[in-house]
Amino acid sequence: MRVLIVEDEARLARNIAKALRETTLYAVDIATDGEDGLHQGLSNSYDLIVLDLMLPKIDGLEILRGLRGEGRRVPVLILTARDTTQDIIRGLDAGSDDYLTKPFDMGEFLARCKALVRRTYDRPSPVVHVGELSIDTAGRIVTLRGQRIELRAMEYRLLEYLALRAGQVVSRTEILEHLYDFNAETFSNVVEVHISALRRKLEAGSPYALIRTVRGQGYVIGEGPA
Amino acid sequence: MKPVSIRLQLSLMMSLLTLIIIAVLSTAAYIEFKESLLRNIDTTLRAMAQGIRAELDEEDTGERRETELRAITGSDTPDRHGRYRVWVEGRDEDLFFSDPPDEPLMQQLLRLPPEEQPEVGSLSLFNVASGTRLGAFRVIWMRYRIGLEVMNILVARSSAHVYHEVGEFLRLLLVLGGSATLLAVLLVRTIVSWGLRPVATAGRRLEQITHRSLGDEAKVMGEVPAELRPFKSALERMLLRLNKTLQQQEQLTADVAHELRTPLAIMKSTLQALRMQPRKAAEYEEGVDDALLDVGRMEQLVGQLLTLARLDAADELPDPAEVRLDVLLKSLAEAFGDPAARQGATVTWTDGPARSVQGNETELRQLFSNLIDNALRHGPRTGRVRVTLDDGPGPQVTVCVHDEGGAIPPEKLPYVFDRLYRVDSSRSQTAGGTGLGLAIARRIVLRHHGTIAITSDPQAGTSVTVQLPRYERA
Repeated sequence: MRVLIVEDEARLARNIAKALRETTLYAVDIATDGEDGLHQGLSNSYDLIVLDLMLPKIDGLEILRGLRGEGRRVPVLILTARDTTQDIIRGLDAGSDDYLTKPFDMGEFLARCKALVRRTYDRPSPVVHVGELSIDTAGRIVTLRGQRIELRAMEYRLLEYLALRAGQVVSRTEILEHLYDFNAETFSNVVEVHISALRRKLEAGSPYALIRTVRGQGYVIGEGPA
Repeated sequence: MKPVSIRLQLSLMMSLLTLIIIAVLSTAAYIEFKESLLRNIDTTLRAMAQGIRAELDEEDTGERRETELRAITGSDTPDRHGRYRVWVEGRDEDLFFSDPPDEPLMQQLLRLPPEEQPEVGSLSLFNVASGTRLGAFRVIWMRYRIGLEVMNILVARSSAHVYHEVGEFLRLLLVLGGSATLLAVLLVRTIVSWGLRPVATAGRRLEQITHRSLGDEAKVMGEVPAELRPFKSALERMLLRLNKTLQQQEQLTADVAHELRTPLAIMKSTLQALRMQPRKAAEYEEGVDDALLDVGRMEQLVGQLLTLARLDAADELPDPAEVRLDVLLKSLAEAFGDPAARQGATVTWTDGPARSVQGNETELRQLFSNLIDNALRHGPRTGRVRVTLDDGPGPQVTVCVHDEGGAIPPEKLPYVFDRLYRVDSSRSQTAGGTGLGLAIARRIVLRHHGTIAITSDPQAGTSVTVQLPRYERA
């Protein structure tokens, strides 16, 4: 999952990014003014945008209208010091999905982020089942036939993304877009490397493949087009 | 002293007035009554004296004359007080007639020194006051000449009953007057209470005003009589001002809350992010430093709010004295110059002639350091801040703090001296500062009876100009 934080308080943005990277293992981009925020929001495919309202250059609500005007469905969480009911109503009416006022609790903020991402992928339950595999996205716990599987951060990110889109063919470009932030160093076969590592851990001793490769298109987990 | 109520004041005034009127009327009635009673006696006495004289003029026998005289004086009447006393004598105390005989009053009068006795051929009235041994009397003394003989006719009547009746009348007047005064007081109290009803109504309406209904001035008092209208409009103007102040205060409170909330939010996020997993000592140190940064920011904000509150609380300047502005500005330019030089900026001050203003040095130092600090933060990082001191216009000195900073949009210029106003609507704290520096500056300038203005232009940069009245040696 990849998140854009539009926040002019650089240290606050850094703290949120740190918490998101460490806890939910999301990839995080930061924009410190409205102009940059709108540009990044339009040019990259994010799974969530955390938006401050009072921003230099372009106001937060303007960014929101710009995104919705361009037909972007990305969930937006407004994170602001404006806490009156009118502000909240205005924010939600402008097309945001959630509203949180500063100062906020980091745990609550993270939980809301996860909930918004679940809804985007139409997965109301925090536990995703794919065959004998179950992934608890809230606690980041992966179990296969009741057996807990330890995954590296990048492996978990990849599995979570594929599992949320179970049954669909996910292209290599999509994986790169949704799992790596703007500054991440990627090498040409990075996706293949992590896919094979996942397969080693999940398909050990199993007669059939959990993750299948659709030649020329990408990867699919679970039941799907052969 | 506690002010006396209008009702009491009016009552007292009215009762005093009533009392004076009643007293004047009563005195007049009393005097008139007494005089008329005495006049009645006098008329009778005069007629009696005339009758006696006429009787004496007739040639009659002594016995018959006495009978006639007795008929005139009616001395047969048994009433002791109403009894007329008569004394008729000729020359050489030749007594003709006396009733009752040897009347001591008459003898006393006849013994009066000659100059006090009435002239021959005239008729005098004597009033014997009630204090004497004999009692109160009215006496008519007629002296006239028959041939060589001087006749004295004295007729008297006791006037004691007059004083008695007059006394009764006085008591009646006192009772009536007292009752009338009391009635007037009660009446006035009632009338005044009735007249003051609108005041009471207005008072009740005022009680219903809360800070919520302050702005609704139409509801404040409703319709009032003409006399209360100036009071009402003054009150409404006051409530309007109060409402405006209250709204500004509410806005300020909201702004302050926002200003405090942002560093609080950052600090909280820093600390919570730090707690999410075990970290290395260096990371904790970094987090603590981060949190301290926010604490410092809040400290600065609270400090400046307190400064403003203190400036607002007292209109009087503490310890005003002559302040050498050139010395003050030079020292400030030097103090700011060193830290500014480290980031590549400069603060310049051109030495000029000595200039003084009347003011408080601590406040003036705060004023100009706010302006220089502001100029350094909003100008370019390596820009030049110029501080100048000039004369005029008029009996003023002008201080200008100029930076090469970017233009403030003209529509935002009028607001830069407002509390917590930031030109950048994001309230971004990247430029530092609390948004209170210029507000404090303006407050100090106003306390010194000066003016402060700002101009901004992309080419010329931004200038804040302060004009203060020049120091006048007393």
